[in-house]
Amino acid sequence: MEFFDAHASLGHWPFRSHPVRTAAQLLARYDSCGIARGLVGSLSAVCYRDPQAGNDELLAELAPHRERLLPLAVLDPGYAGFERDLAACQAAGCVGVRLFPNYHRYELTAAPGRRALGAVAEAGLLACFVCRHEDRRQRHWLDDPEDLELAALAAGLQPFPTLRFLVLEGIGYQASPFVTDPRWRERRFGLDVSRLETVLYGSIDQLAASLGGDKLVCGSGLPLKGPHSALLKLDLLPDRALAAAVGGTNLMALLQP
Amino acid sequence: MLGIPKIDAHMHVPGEGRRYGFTTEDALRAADRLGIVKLCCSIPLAENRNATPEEMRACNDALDWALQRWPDRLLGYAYLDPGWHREALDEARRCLDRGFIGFKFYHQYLADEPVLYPFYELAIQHRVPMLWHAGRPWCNKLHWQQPRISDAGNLARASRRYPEAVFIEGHIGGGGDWEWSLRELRGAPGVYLDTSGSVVDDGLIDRCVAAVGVERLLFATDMTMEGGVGKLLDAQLTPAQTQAICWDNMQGILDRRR
Repeated sequence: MEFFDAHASLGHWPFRSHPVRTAAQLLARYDSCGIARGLVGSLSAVCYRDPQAGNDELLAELAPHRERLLPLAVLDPGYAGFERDLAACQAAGCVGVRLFPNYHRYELTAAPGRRALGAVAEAGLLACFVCRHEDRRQRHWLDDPEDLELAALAAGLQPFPTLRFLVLEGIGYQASPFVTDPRWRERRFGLDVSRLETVLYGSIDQLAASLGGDKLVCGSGLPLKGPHSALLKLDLLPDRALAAAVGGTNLMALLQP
Repeated sequence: MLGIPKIDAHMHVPGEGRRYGFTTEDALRAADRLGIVKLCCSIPLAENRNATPEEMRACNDALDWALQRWPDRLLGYAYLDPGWHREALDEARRCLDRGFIGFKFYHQYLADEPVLYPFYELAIQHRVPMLWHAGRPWCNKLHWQQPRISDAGNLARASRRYPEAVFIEGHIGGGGDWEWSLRELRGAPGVYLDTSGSVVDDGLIDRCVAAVGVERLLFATDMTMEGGVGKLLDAQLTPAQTQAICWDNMQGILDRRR
């Protein structure tokens, strides 16, 4: 199985030290645990006032490694000229964007969120949402935004039927609209299973049964999380076809316009 | 890693029936897939109130049901609420007589409060370990969900008062700011650290090794089962270090029992 990582980042998370910061370090970790490729966004850009500076750093860092590390842009629709950032990042080869309504303090259902989602949908890019960077219990006191709530995400995304999206670092999917509301079955999206339990609760199998195995992806969470927990969940899945889909082919399909 | 035999130093099973969303048989099947041979379990009252003596006994009786059925796989910590001084000490002795391996304290009292001292003295007398639900949540909202959760500082102070006692700080990967905890535990050689919890931060285990040494680390899951093994795979451990964390350290604690 060729693992395609749905969730990796580079740059610096200002609230804690972490060993992996460069593309070379990320690739070394990928090689050590058998990850073939990954979607990579900038951690720095989340906290920079001007996220495009972080995007530029990321693009420069990934330039020699584009075959394995696919860049994502961080957009803040409340900051001046975000549409220019989107266009510049798309021209530079970004395959999607990460939006952080919790860190950048806007609602997806209000004007800035709708503008961002509309622009990403029109650009034909993948929208990615990281529900949390770290476990709430251990966060630095300045790292205060709430985790993204699945119901709020669904409400924001619902008016944009052509938008493809990923929900990363989420949990509690079974009770979310993405699973309980059958209208979402027609949409193209991926839910990251990296926080679900395989051997004790069978949560990935259950979610696949409820939603369809084609809507599940898996992210390592590097560099804030170690990758082996996520990889082990897939290694231990009894259904090897499902493991292959979650570990790579679903994400490849989702990247196709 | 899956083939390396492991003792899970911090786990829960429901006893008879279903609790925590699984059965004891489910937990054993999951353990089998991860190479976990023995599971050191407890059933605590995880609410922000004192357990009644009846509830304490019911928790331990439920666990004992499982211990009797799977004696080769399951080991038990007696859950104690030290607020019930006489009743809790009686319960501790009753459980030790039934073969429990040690005590489990939750968040009813802080680890360095005097109400705990008689229990520490009993544990020292029997040379059994004490597992503490512990953590250092930064977020005020979460802190007030468990206002009397002990942190590494409470455990370090208790250990300095009772250096012969074996304390285990529960879930370094599920108890808030683990970097803070590691700094506190550097100077507390009587406090072991279990690796359990849902947090699988990159570098977590390596930082634990650097801070407290391999000899004070105990493999554990606290129901985060793939994550418990995955975080060991993430670490830069030698085979001897892996063996110590997965088995030898906890076995050494169990072998101390009088």
